[in-house]
Amino acid sequence: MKRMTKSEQAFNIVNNIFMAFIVIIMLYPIVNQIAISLSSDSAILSGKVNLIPKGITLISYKNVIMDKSFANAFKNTVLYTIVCTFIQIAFTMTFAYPLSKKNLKGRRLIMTLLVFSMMFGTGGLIPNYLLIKNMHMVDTYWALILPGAINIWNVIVFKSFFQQIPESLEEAGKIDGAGVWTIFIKIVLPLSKPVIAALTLFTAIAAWSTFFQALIYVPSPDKKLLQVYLNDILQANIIPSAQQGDVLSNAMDNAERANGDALKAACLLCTMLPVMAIYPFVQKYFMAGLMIGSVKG
Amino acid sequence: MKKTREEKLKTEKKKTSALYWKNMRPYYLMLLPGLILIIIFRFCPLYGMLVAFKDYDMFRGFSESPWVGLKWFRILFESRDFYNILRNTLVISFLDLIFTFFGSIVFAILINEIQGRRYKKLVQTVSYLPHFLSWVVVGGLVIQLLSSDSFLVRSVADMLNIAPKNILLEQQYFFPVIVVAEMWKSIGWGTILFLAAMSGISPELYEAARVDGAGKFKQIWYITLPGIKFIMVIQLLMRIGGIMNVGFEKVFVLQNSMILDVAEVFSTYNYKVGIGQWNMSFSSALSFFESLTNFILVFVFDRIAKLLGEEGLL
Repeated sequence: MKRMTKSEQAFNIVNNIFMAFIVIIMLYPIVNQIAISLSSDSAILSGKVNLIPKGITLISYKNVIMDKSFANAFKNTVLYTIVCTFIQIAFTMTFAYPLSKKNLKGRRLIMTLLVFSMMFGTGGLIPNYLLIKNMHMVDTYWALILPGAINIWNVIVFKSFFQQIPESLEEAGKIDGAGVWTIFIKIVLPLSKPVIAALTLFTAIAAWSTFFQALIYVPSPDKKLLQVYLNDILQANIIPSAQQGDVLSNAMDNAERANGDALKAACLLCTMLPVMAIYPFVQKYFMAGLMIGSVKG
Repeated sequence: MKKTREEKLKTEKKKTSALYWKNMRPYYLMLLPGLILIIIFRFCPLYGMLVAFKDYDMFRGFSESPWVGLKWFRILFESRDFYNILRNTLVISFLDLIFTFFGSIVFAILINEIQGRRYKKLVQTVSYLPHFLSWVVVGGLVIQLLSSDSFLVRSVADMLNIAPKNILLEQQYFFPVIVVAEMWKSIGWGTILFLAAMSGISPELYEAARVDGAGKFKQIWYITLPGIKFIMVIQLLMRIGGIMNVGFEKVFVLQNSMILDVAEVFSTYNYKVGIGQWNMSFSSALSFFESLTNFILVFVFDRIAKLLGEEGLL
């Protein structure tokens, strides 16, 4: 360890304290909501629940889990996330592999088209909606899956990863008489496990978070995804009837809202839970995240 | 290794094109599904943008609807809403740029200065977490924390000796709230590229500076910042290019009918006009305006960066 001057030591101490402060700010909302979700109505209503639950009860979790539309939305979202992630990764990988071949004619053209498409976006809300409608995909999950089946950013990441694989390995396969697909599946993909794992996790989290697209394209209540369901719960009652000035209804409303707060907190945490559960695995791949960002165009 | 590859490339070129196609056909078949998807879902909608110049009628369809030239753009620029939304969009974007983007740079510098390895890892792990939560969840946390019976609001109200109120229903708090929410969600993850760039700076530079008697601030100013200048410029360009896109989700989850004067931005307005009122041509005109401005901004700032001697984005 190098020796530090007085001013450097002072800087370090201040910096460490400041960083601790940031960590607390990052964690506070989540810890607070955990406490709220476990507290009794009266404790929440009195505004005393901060970091530690008061009057511990599991009633709000019970309510959330027993709620049929929550269970349905959760099931839909799990299914959708699995299918969407699988399709997106499979299509993106397969598309990226030929592009990693330097002698492929038209490779430049395709890369230019991809970058162009990234720069210009996809034309806005209504042109996309009309397209989905004309393809009769409204109210199906295909409207959420197919448009993003090729993730251009990930194409670039996969492509640069495949390019790093020594050609001699593929060459060996070729001598054994293996076709392009066999080489891709038997040699290239097993060597690409880390990047596949990383992008699968990132893609799954993105799929789990799908909100806007689901809001527009999948209006049926029984097909609702979790994020849309959560938004409905959160928006309910945001403008209290207290605005109307009726004292009695004000009290009623307060009682209802306290209960609602614990319920909302429980619902929020249940929506976060899968992401929190895989976060430790995601963490392993922050380096891959670095790679994603550092590839330019 | 390298030489054999080059030789191979050369012989490849000499091969007849018939052989080339025979060898490469499987690769093109692999490209095909992706290309079809990209053409349908990324390029067809660009053509569909022409709806902005038509009087789109759902029953007559795209090709039968009459052309109306710039009618919808005229209506757009004459509406009062437009200037309100433009202002909100720009205010939120600029606040994000100042607080989240430059905040990330400062945060990255401070993380980089943490001496203990474990502590550094902890700070990073915790501050990256919110990035992985959806905007509905983050919006939900904000709604809950700012509701009138939350501990936070009660404590502050008690301290100031006023009655607790629901902050999300008050116009004057909307911009600060949305900026803080964005900071909470993105400031940690935003450091990742800067930290990567900083890890590439040679420790010898710092040693040399210390020998010359440079303090922490001078080291940061003369070594760290120049070391991440390139990535800073690229990121700044990308940010400025997206200045008209304030994300739909974050505004949508935090807005309510009481504060629409400050809480309506292009994306949310577009949603209401397009999907709410099915005014498709008007909504497309709005999208068209947004895309065009973005494109011009990226182009102009790319030129400026190149004039200043930086490598641009395009």
